[in-house]
Amino acid sequence: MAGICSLRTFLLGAGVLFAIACSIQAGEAPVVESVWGCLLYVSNDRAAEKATQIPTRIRDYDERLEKLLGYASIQTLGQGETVVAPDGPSSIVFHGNIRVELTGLTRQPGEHFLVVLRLFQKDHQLIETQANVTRGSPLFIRGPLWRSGQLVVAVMVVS
Amino acid sequence: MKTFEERYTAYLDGLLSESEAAIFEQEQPTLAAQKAEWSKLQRVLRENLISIELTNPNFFNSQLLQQITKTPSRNRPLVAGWFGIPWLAWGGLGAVTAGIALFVTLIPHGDLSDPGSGYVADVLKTTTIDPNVSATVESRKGITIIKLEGLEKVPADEDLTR
Repeated sequence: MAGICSLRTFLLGAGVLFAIACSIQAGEAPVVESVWGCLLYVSNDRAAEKATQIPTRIRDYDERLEKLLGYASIQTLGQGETVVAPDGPSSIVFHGNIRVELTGLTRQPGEHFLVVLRLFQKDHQLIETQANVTRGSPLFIRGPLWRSGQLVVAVMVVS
Repeated sequence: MKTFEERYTAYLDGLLSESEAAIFEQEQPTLAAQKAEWSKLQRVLRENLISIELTNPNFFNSQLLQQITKTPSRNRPLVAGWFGIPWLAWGGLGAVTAGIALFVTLIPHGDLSDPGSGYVADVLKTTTIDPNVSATVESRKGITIIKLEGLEKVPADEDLTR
């Protein structure tokens, strides 16, 4: 009888703790989020076709990207990840001093994020944009021409 | 050849023929006295043992069932109370319902065969500082791209891979 009582107490305690943990997890949004970005080179250059594989995170988008931009190959030039904190901007810097500066990231209802970002080439701001994205949905920005193709920046909230 | 026990039993029951009985009595001289005692015992039993008709023909069965009903079951404390079968069943049902609710609310769902089905990237506002640069947003199913026009070309000799 004492064993059953102690088991009952243990189960009740575990249930209460689980319920508290669930309510905390469900009701509290994370303060910081990670944003991943990459610099791509799209071209019809067959030599670059197999140079670098497209990152896994956007592998499903390669065909759509090629169709939308009219190029046959995608080469990855660089990628990076940063944590966007609420107290200041964060940047992802690529080679050639091309960088994405994230000035705001606000969590919206329904697992959406309102992201404000700027794209810089050296110290020259190319664009500032505000977008509503979901986690894992990359936003592509087609940038300047380079060699026989064009540079494309992909930005995605990952966590 | 009959054994002694078979012949003795048959003799007492009167099943031996007269000749066989005579031979057996000659072999065993005390048999006549034993048979007389046996006959006396049978007569006494017949006179004193009377079969009693039971008022309840299922008396023994009813007694057994009564005992079984009175005996407390070892599992009874678990069946009643918090850990009884009904409570466990309701608990399991509740847990499954909670699991389904958590799955529906927390797990992103969509058409897994189409990787673009859960894609959301809506450009709300786009501004460019340089008046020579323009931006257009192109959204297709599962992909959104901002196309910048009027940018200066990056020199071809600039190495962007290192």
